Amino acid sequence: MNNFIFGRYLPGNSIIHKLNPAAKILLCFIYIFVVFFANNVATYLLLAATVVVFIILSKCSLSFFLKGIMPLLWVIIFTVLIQVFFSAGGHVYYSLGIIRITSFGIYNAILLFIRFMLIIAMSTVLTLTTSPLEISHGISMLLKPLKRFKFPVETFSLMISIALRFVPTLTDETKLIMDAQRSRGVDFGDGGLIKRAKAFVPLLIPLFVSAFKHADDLSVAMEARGYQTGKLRSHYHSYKWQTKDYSFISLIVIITIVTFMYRS
Amino acid sequence: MDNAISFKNVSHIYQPNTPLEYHALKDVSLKIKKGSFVSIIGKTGSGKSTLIKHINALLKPTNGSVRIDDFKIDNKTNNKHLNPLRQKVGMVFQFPEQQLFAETVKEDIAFGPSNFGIEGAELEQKVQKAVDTVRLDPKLFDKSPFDLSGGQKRRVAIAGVLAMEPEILVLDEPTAGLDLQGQEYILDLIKRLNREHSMTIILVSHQMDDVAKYSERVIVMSEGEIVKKCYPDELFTDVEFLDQYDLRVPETVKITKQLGAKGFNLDKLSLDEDELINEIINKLRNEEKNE
Repeated sequence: MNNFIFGRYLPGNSIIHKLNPAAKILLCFIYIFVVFFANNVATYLLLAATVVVFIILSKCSLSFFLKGIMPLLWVIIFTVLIQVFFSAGGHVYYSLGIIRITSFGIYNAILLFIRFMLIIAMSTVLTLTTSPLEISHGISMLLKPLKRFKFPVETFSLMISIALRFVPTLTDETKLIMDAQRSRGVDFGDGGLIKRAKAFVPLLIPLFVSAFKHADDLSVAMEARGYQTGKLRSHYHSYKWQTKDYSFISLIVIITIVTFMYRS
Repeated sequence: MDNAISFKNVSHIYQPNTPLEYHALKDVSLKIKKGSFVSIIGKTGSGKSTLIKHINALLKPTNGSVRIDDFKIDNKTNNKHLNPLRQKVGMVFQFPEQQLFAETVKEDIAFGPSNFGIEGAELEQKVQKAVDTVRLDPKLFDKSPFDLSGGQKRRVAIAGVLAMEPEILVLDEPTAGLDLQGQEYILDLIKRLNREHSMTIILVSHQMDDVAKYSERVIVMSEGEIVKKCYPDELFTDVEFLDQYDLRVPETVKITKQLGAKGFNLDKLSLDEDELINEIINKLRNEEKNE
């Protein structure tokens, strides 16, 4: 678990760190979209090169990055193997019962592997360089057009930012309660399925109770400071769109166009 | 063996080999005698909590080893056979009322010992004994722990640890967030356990008055290292040292110093307010006699 970096944030001040969060989310979104349309060697090389450039620009050490996404590799390999063994179509190399290795299956598996890796790499760049609060700002900026359709953008983004803000608090609390119960003799992760599930009761109940208490305290504190739902508020952080944001967006648009031109 | 706990060159690193790597303990060695009352003080982030988590193997040393009676813990220690150790070392974490979960107070207190395989009449008796020790109202037995007041909840939580009948009790700021009465109650309880049951007590605290009043030995930590191990009166007369590590002076020491500055010198430094009062009264009486 220690090296697992998916979804973690590493403070820094590279150019990627300083991009407008809305631009970054948009970039990531377009990139994932494009990954599904690429279908030959040339386009995938282009997309892989893009993600490597992003990693280098974010000043993250490449080995740390690779080690961090290793744990996810097992999930990917599992999916890939299912593709290899159970796909039908194309030339059949080997078959035994329901297991069939076909050219089509292998092709699909390779495609799946590459797509998975690229998407995970790009979204890890996003989360490593963007703090949770910036992400919530970014999401609310991108959702702003939905206001026309009566979607409660303000409330939604407030919910996201509070949720993100409390992730580390609740993680700390989880660790603390786990330690406290372990020192009272609870063995988490030992024994059969039922015993394991039972061991989590002394963790989950205090955690829920404390989450309720946090919610109660926070809502009272917010009200005392003049918060009212649905009222228009001003914002402390304002993210301006800068030249670098536009240039990164244009870059990804160019990559999109090139990919669509060269896909077979 | 005389020592309940001994640390030998213990280091602990959180998240090693990542950019988030953090040295929380650096080459810590210490010995704590059986039945003693030791306080650990130091600024936030000085490694106190990391240190105490080693005492019942919630954390294992990255380097070095910890010995608690016959148990030896180093980085190769298996997680499987730690239950006898956990029974021996009771841990009261900060805000222990957060760990309550059972439907009734009784069940919650019984949770610890029952995890160690104690059943039936013996369990009943241990719960009763723990409840008597913290002097909890028996009327509260069948109530939900979530219906109790803050002070009562904390007492239930502490009773839950005491029901395991530990030989070593580790407390991380047991009085934080309690009113004065509650604070005194908990500290007197700890002192009683130390005196009457010769339980080894390790107290982490920011309250210098409590540290001065109750502990026999003090360990001062700073940035993951032990900077001083001494008797409380030694520590609290060394103003320069206290200043250097941003530690407060207990009120009794302050008062003694201020009286001294006005020419009223006491013979002895008292760390307990009652003692200080007696000292002042005696001094005044003696002066009267001499006149």
